[in-house]
Parts: sequence; C-alpha cells; structure tokens
Amino acid sequence: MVEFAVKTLLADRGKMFTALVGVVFSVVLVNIQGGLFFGLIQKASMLVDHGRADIWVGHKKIHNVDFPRDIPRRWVHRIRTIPGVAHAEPYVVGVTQMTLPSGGFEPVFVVGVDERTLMGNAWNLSQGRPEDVRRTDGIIVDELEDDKLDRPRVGDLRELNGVRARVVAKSHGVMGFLVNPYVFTTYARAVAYTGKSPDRCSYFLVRLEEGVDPHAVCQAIRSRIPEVEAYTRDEYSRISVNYWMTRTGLGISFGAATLLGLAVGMIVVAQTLYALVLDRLAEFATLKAIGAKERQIVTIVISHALVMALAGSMIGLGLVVLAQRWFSSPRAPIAISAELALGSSLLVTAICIVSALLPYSRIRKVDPVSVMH
Amino acid sequence: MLAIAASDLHKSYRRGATVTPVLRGADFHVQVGEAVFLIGPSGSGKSTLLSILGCLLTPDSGTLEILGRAVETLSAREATELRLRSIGFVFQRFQLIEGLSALDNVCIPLKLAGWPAGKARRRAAELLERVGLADHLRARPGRMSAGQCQRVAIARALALEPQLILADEPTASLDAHSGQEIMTLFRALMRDHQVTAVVVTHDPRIFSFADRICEVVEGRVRAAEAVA
Repeated sequence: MVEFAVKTLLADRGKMFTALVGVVFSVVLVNIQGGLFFGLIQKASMLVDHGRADIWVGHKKIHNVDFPRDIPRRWVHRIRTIPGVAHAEPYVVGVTQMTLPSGGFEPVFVVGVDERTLMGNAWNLSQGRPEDVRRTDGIIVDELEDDKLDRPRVGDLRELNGVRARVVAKSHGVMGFLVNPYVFTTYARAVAYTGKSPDRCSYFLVRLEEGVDPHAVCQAIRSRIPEVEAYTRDEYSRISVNYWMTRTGLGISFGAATLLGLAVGMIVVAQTLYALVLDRLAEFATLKAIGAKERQIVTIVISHALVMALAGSMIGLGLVVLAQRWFSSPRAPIAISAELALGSSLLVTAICIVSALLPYSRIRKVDPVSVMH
Repeated sequence: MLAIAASDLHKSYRRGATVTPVLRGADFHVQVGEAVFLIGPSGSGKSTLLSILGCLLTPDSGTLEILGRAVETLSAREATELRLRSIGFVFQRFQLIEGLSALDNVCIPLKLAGWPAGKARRRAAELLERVGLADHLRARPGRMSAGQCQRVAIARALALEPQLILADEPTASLDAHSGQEIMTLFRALMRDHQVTAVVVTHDPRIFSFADRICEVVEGRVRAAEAVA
C-alpha cells in the first residue's frame, strides 16, 4: 500500500509540489529560526564556553557572565588549597568606555585574564597571537567590531577610561550577546581600565587536576567560602543563557515566530492533502468496493503524509545547509545542531500525519456503493 | 449448486421523510458457472440488487446467500474480505486509478490480499497478456482507449480468481465493436476461470452472451420474456 500511495502521489505532481513547498517552508523556517535563536543565545555564554576553565567561581548571586559582582581577590588562595584544584586565577569582566580617534566613544566590556596562564583570553585570532596581550598596553579586539572602534589596526592606540591601550592582536567573531565589543587584556590592566580596586575581581577561573569530579570541587569551594557560588563550565553556560531567555522573552518571540511559520506550512500541507483526497474520493470508493480494509486506507493516507514529510524534510534540510553556509556569520550565527535538524523533521512529520487525519475523516465517510452510481 | 440465493429482498431509500422502495421482495437465484444478465428500466432496482449481491449494500429484509455464505451474518470486515477474495467487480466507468499504470491497477487486489510485490506483478502481467494488453503494461488509463481500460478492469476483477463477477453496464462506455470484443473476452475468461457472472446491462447487442436474462421490474426479478 505504501508503493501504491507513493505512485498515486507522484502521479499528481502539481499537488505534491504544493504540499512539498509547505513542508519545505516549515522545515527551513523552523531550522533557520531555531538556528538563529541558538546562535544568538550561545553568544550569551561565549566567555564561559571558550574560557578553558573547568569551574567558574563568582559572587553568591551571579546569574550572567557579562554582569558579575566583584569579590575579594584574596579568596583565590583558599580555592588553590582545595584538593583537585590544579590552579585558580582571578578574572575580571567590567564595563568602561573606549575613547576613539574621531572624538567619539564606545562602551566596551573589558575582560582581564591572568598574565601567566592567559585562561579566558580571546580566541580565534586573525592577527597576532594570544600571548601578545602581555605586551605593554596590549589589548585584543575583534575585527568585526571595527566600525564601532574606528577601524583600529594592530599597533594603533586607543584610550580606555583615560588609560592608554594598544591593539596588539585581533580576533574574528568574538562578539557577545550585547552590542558592546569585548576588549581582552591582562588582569592588571583590566583593573585600571575599569577603575576597579586591584584587591577585587569578578571571577576565579579554576582548572582541575585530571579525573577530578568538578561537582565535588564546586561543593568544596562553596563550603570553604560560603560567600561565593561555584559552577561547572556547563552549568554557568546554561545559567548565562537562561538569564537572557527568561528575562527578555527572546525564547517566546523566536518560538512564536517559529510556530507561526510551522502553522502556515502545515495549513498548506493539510489543505493540499485534503484537495488530493477530494480529487480521489472515487478512487478510494473503488478501493473500498474491491475489498480494501480500513487499515489499508489509513496506510495510504499516512503514507502520503510520510512521503511528504520525508521528501520535504530532506529538501528543506538541504536548503538549510546552503542557507547556513551562505548567511551564517559571527554577527548573526545560525547554529543548527543535529538535535534541531532531527527534532524539526520529527515535528514536521508528526504534524503532517495529523494534517492527514482531516482528509482521512472525509475518506471514512465515502460509501463504496457510490461506485455503482 | 447455487452461487447466489436471494429470497424476498426488500430495500428502500430514505431521503428525509420520503421513503422510496426499490426492491419489493426480489427473489434471485444463480447457478454456479452461469452468466445471468439483469435488464430493466432505469430506477427498477438493477443496480441496487447488484450492490446488495456485492455486499456493498445491506437489504432491509430478506435472505441472501453468496457462494454458500449467509450475508446477513457477516461482519463488515468479513463482508470486505468476501468482496476482496470471492467477488470481482467490473464497473461501467472502469474505476481505474488514474495515477497508476495498467499493471499497477491490476496489482491492487493482489496487494490488498497481501501478495508480495514481485508475485503480484507477475500475476498482473499474465492477466494483462490474457486480455490482449501485453504491450500496455506501463500505460496509464488516461492514455488508453475505453475498450482497453475495460480490459484492464476485467483483468483486475479476475486477479484473485474470484468465484463471482458482478458487472455493472460493462459495455455502456464502449462503442458497438469494442462492446462485442469485451463480451467475447469476458465469456472466454468466465469459461477459463469457471466464474459465475451477474451483468447489469441496457445493451441488447450483448444479450446473446447471457445464459439467462432476468428483468427487474418494480423491485422484483422475473425471467425476461423476450431476448433480442
């Protein structure tokens, strides 16, 4: 019956094409919307995801990597004594203003890394090396933020909070969730650029010894310093993402747009399947008359839906790959995971099957005796 | 031995408060291997009787045995199974599936009966060859003449070697020559497959192919007095 369904579907290429457009539209929309959403939201935890730290330690109430509350730097010594900790370094994230040669200014996030380990430093450098940040007045900026920072070249000078800074390297695509560019430098200079007290820092980045359970160390840190919170990399990444998801309604707006697209696509599919069936009521009556069982009729209708869903998903995902290749950029990354691709295909398949129930209800009412009239 | 034994069949159609009796105590018996033609004016109840014989309609009252089975005791599922395995249908307008080739159309009952694809295709090809369409296995109904389509429909009706064929105006959509050809083929196949047939027709040119002709008049069946 599946073969029968496929052949009858292929015979009406016009309707099949219309339904396919609906499915493809849904698959592409869900994936691109979802990909943009995940791509955007992943930027909220960029520092954590690329920071190379196993554990992030910060103020008791930290909820977002970009908005820390400072803690005493001296606590780092207590963390270093905890069994399983390979090393722990202070890390600064703060906001300041960069003065530009044009006379303008730009608010930036200053990230201060430990000069020795460079843990949490900029990555994906297109010019210069990570260790160049150790050079006098060295800062690393992202080349995609050139427009905001008056197109600095390596070697150019800028001012941060009235203190001299020299661009020593440039990254590509290190762009945060917010509009403010990241400026990477050493801990000592970051303190100066942000006007923070040198006795305080934003986080302690902790690296663990091989094979140590990070959750156990987090617990030990909390016990040793009750005023701080310690999270594994994955936990703090998730917390940073959830901050924007829950406080901005970003998930709802993206989700609503995706659902709307899904609904439009599925209405097209349902309508086409319905039209396909209406055109063929006499054929279904014939099948019933010559002895098709209800189960076999259902198989045909479901097969129509599955063929649409499968073909539409494959074409749609192919288009998504192309769209991702052409349109994804660090500014607007389209992050499509295997889970998203598979999930969207399963969702579309499920909706196609539900869409097929409407025409099936029409077929159920077809009386086989009508072939005699 | 009787292939069909129908006694005192009554059937009425209701539309709102209006009840229109169509069969009014019809008795109809057909011997195994017999070809019985049903004739009669429009609205006399021929198609209704044929539909009841094909288990597509249920009579309001009366008894009906098809191939030794009491139809009134059959569940819907059993009636469907009886239609599939024991009754072949030939319709006035062929009722072929437009999107399928001749071969695939003949395969339908075989597939419904659960035959494997390869075996079904071989069987369908044999039948199409038998009805003279060996060169048209891949042809779609839209590309075939009316006579060829009816041949495909006959091949489909015979696919599962049913014991009973019910044909509703099989030559109505055909010209005189094609009608004669189809009926000649039909009788030959009936003989080869030892099939019983009930044919509803208005076409006096094919009366000569009947073993017996019955006339349906005012909801009752009687032997036709004059055969052309």
